[in-house]
Amino acid sequence: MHLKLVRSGGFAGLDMVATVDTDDLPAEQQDLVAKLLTADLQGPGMSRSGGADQFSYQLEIHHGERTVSRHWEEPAVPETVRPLLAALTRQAKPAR
Amino acid sequence: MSHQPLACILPPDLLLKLAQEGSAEHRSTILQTLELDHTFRLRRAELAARQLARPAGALTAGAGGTPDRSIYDQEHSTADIPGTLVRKEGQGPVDDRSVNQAYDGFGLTYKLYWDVYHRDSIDDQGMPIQGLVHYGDAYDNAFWDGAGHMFFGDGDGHLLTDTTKGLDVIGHELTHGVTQHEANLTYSGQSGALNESISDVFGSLVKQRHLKQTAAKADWLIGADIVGPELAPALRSMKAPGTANKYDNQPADMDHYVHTSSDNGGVHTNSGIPNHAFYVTAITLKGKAWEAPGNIWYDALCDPRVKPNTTFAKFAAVTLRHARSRYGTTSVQADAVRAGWDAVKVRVR
Repeated sequence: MHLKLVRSGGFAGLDMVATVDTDDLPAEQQDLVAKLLTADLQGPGMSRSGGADQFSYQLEIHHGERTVSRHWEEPAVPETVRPLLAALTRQAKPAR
Repeated sequence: MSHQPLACILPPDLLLKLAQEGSAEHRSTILQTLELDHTFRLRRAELAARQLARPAGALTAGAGGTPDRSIYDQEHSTADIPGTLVRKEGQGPVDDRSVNQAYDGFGLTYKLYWDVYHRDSIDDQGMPIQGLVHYGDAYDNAFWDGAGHMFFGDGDGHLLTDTTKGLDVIGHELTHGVTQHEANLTYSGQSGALNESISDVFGSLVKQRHLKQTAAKADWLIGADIVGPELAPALRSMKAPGTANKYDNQPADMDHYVHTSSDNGGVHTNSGIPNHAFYVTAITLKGKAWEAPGNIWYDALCDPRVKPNTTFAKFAAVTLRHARSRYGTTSVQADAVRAGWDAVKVRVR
């Protein structure tokens, strides 16, 4: 499986993009990706209206012919997903 | 626009993909559908945002003129509630530079709003100012959460460094709160870019006033004190949008307005247009930008005619109206405002 993460927004307004093969991820993050293929994990609350400069994350999971997209907005990112997003963000490059 | 029943039931990400792969005609229709769907959701969100909760203690405000600051250490967690209270109003500096920078930056921002615009804090009723520092792990961001809290990350040292180092950053975030209490500009498209621009404008004015700089002397850069090597020398330039760093694609006029679905319709990109209009207004008047130009922009922000969905053109018209009423119909200030909007090709009616 391949993953593409786009982090957009933030005070800097800079899109950051990472493309990763799931084989390169630790086992627990591979398990999480498998879960995300079938379950849209969301945080405990909706992102609050009136906020500004918060990040949003768009994760595409490419599995064979299938592509699944998941979307999260700060601060409503589930704690279970944060380590994966942090790991992908560390590999991300500015998009423009 | 023609109705697209298929488009209405599809999720936004699939619509985007279809738009990318479809014909020009379909692309246009799909993008309009996406925009409309986003607008409906934002209208609902906007109604909720006006009901901003006031932190405890907000109703005990006195006569004004003194901020009520609290700085919390988030200890690198991503909790969305305040962590450990480490410095509150009236207490001296602590052994944490980020805490002190946030405290001092909020003080200078409060002073600009109080001394120049006679505004008592975020809500003009002495609302407590709450800064949450050391948010997340090497977190490359600072943000306003819509509920009275400003979060500051330490940066990864490559893209950004400690975000509390930027006085303009602190002024920018607090101004998002002011905007939420006034025009409550919807955070998408032109109104979102205007929301961002107003934060850049008053963030820059806090810094210029602190440094005692005239418009001509100021560098008009945003984020120059928090960028790491990858984004140096700054995040944005109000003087020359699109030139602040190698990734900066801000337009400087309406001919180059960026249509995108990213970042709520490019709110941090198209803000370059009203940013530059303010810069031209200020530089035309030559003096201190927080005086006449700042007063005009502040008057416009507080004008009930500026609604959540206000466009650049509508906001421009309101600034001109206030320049004329405050300084005179044929005043140099009114002429400067018109010159500012002319420079970015926003037609002022």
